[in-house]
Amino acid sequence: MSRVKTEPTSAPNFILGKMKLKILVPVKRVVDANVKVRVKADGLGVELANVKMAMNPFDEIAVEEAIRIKEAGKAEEIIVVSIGPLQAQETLRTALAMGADRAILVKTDEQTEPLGVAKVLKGVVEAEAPGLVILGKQAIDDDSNQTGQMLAALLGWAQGTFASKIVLEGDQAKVTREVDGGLQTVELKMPAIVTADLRLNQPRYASLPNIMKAKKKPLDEKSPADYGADVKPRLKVIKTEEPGGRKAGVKVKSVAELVEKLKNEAGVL
Amino acid sequence: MAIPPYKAPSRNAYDIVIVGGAVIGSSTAYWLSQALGSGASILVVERDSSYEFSSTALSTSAIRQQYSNPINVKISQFGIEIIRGFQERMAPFYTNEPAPDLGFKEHGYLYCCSPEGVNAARERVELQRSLGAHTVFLEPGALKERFPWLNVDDLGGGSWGSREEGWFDSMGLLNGFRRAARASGVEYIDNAVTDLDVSEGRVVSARLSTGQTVRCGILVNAAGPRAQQVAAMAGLSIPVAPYKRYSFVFASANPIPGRMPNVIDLSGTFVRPEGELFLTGNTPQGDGPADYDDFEIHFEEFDDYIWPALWHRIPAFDALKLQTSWTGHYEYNMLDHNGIVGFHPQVTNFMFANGFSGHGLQQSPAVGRAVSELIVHGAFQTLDLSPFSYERIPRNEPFLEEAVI
Ligand SMILES: Cc1cc2nc3c(=O)[nH]c(=O)nc-3n(C[C@H](O)[C@H](O)[C@H](O)COP(=O)(O)OP(=O)(O)OC[C@H]3O[C@@H](n4cnc5c(N)ncnc54)[C@H](O)[C@@H]3O)c2cc1C
Ligand SMILES: Cc1cc2nc3c(=O)[nH]c(=O)nc-3n(C[C@H](O)[C@H](O)[C@H](O)COP(=O)(O)OP(=O)(O)OC[C@H]3O[C@@H](n4cnc5c(N)ncnc54)[C@H](O)[C@@H]3O)c2cc1C
Repeated sequence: MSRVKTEPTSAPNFILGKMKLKILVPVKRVVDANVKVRVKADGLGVELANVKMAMNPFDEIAVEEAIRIKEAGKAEEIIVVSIGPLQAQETLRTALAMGADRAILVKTDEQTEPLGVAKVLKGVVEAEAPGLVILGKQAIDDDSNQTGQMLAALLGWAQGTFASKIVLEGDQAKVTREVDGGLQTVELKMPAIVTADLRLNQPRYASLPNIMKAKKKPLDEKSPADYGADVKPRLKVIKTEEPGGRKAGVKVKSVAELVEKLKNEAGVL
Repeated sequence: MAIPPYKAPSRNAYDIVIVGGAVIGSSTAYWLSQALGSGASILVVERDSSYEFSSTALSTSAIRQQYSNPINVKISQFGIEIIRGFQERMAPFYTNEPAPDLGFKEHGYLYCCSPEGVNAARERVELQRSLGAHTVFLEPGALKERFPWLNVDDLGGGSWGSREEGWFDSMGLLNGFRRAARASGVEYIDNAVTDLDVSEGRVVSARLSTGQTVRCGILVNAAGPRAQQVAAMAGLSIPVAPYKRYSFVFASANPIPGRMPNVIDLSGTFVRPEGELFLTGNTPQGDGPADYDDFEIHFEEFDDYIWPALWHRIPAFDALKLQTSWTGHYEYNMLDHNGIVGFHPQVTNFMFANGFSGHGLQQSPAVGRAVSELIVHGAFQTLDLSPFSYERIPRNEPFLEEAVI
């Protein structure tokens, strides 16, 4: 199934002078970042029943960036895609309300994993021929940080991960990356894959009027099979654990006692 | 949060047993302990002292003077007195640490008023002012001038309490009363009352979930949304049931400048600032009695009803994002959404302190004091709360209060 191509698979229809750039943004439905997650009784995952779900925050940043590029007149169309259950429609509607043009739900009730998702996205890229795919750098549910990289490999496209700035010039994308201790700027030849880091932008809130309007924007429903992809899980979750509780603090009576404890108990001095 | 392990009481007989140790039970225990000193034995039985599901912990904790019935205004005025002086009142019980400051945010309430409702609203404002409240009625123009972010197009005006209204810390109030009561000799135990023994028109003893039986001179029902469970243990019945209320905290792309009050829209939706965020809620669709353990939230309530109402009233609320939410239970009195305070006429040592619906927190200081007065003196000494007596229930005579939220 996984034919790895090294040549770009889409025609270069993104040449900026001709205003043809299409941007694809994959968005994932995850547990809302404000929710305190709880491990399920069987220890094989987290409790999702009656828990608030939302768009992965890094994907909101990716959608926002695509909208800003379009607002700057450098792109023509923004397509958002989500691979997940029927309810992922809500996530797509949020992206449409923010300003994306149309949406594709690739419906599956499987627990999606990066490789399966990347394979579906490859199919979507081949069908839609975007010049740029902006993903989140990771999803806050499983924190894999793999999908963008895998997609770039499957397509044989250039990639700029952990982007804190994107500048498009001609068929080049200049991507500033957040690396440990500093910034690195890479120049990618489009079509390309970019993954968004936290500081790329501050995503806008969808407004109520735009949420209403988004109900009328096109939302296609497909299946992984439509893109020749198999999303069956390959990983097996053995155990899920909550972080250990915070230990109670102690009161110290003097600076001397504090220093003593830092030295001998905490081992930080 | 886990329910703390249950403990046996230290004795087998008490002068007074209080069922429920949240704000109503603890205020009652506090006032009784101050009136009786160590001369009386008082036991408070609390089935979950983490208070995770209590109305008190899940409350949105506001206090207002804007009622249509004088007694409700006076009850809240006493509430304000207690809130303002709480730190000082509690100081003796917090010797080596600061007593709780209830963080009172005196931003006022703004009740929106329809054009048809203007006369009634003006009458209420007059009544409140005659009792010393600071409510004013603002015509649409004046309203717009003071609150430029408010859509007044479909309003006849609004009543605004410029002082002595706002919101505060519910758990601070509960913890203060509880700590003061314990320091004054009241015994609190983690345990549940599972049954009551009634003989010749009196509750003679309470049975606990750990198997003990404690005899009691007086039994106080302060079980909040579970009040009817406790009443039924004595063969009694009150129309009090848990009603779900959803609270939503959201961020707004556009800030609201100035000192925003708690705005009560015509739709019954309320909204107020909470730091940089906002807190909102309403009377949900299909409102009715819920299961005691049903705390499931319905996000559609925000998306489909609350947000459209907010956007209509405050157009700056066009771009919002939910941050957190929770479900709490009103201890709802289905007869007239007002409290029931007093002894039962036949089971004569069974005291009700129940059914406060959406305003039991602000009423808890006055209710606790009133219950204590009935027990200690056999009659009200300060505020006369007889309009809330149990007798109106079997007579099916609602207590009239127009200003409900
Ligand atoms: C989009 C996104 C991106 C993220 N990126 C990163 C990342 O790059 N690196 C990373 O480490 N984490 C990241 N996180 C995780 C996030 O920062 C974690 O929530 C946080 O690090 C966890 O800290 P905490 O568990 O202490 O909880 P928090 O709730 O975040 O921290 C609260 C702690 O601070 C105290 N506190 C909170 N507010 C105050 C206050 N006003 N005054 C005093 N004390 C206060 C609380 O008592 C508590 O101890 C990200 C989360 C999201 C949603
Ligand atoms: C969302 C919401 C918003 C609100 N907003 C406001 C407001 O703005 N202003 C205001 O004044 N009020 C408000 N209220 C109402 C107010 O919070 C309540 O009226 C008040 O907290 C009731 O206190 P209580 O002690 O009677 O009930 P609770 O706090 O529910 O306490 C009852 C206690 O009894 C215990 N108990 C029950 N059965 C037993 C048993 N068999 N044995 C032992 N223990 C038992 C329970 O565990 C519980 O701790 C609001 C309530 C909610 C839910």
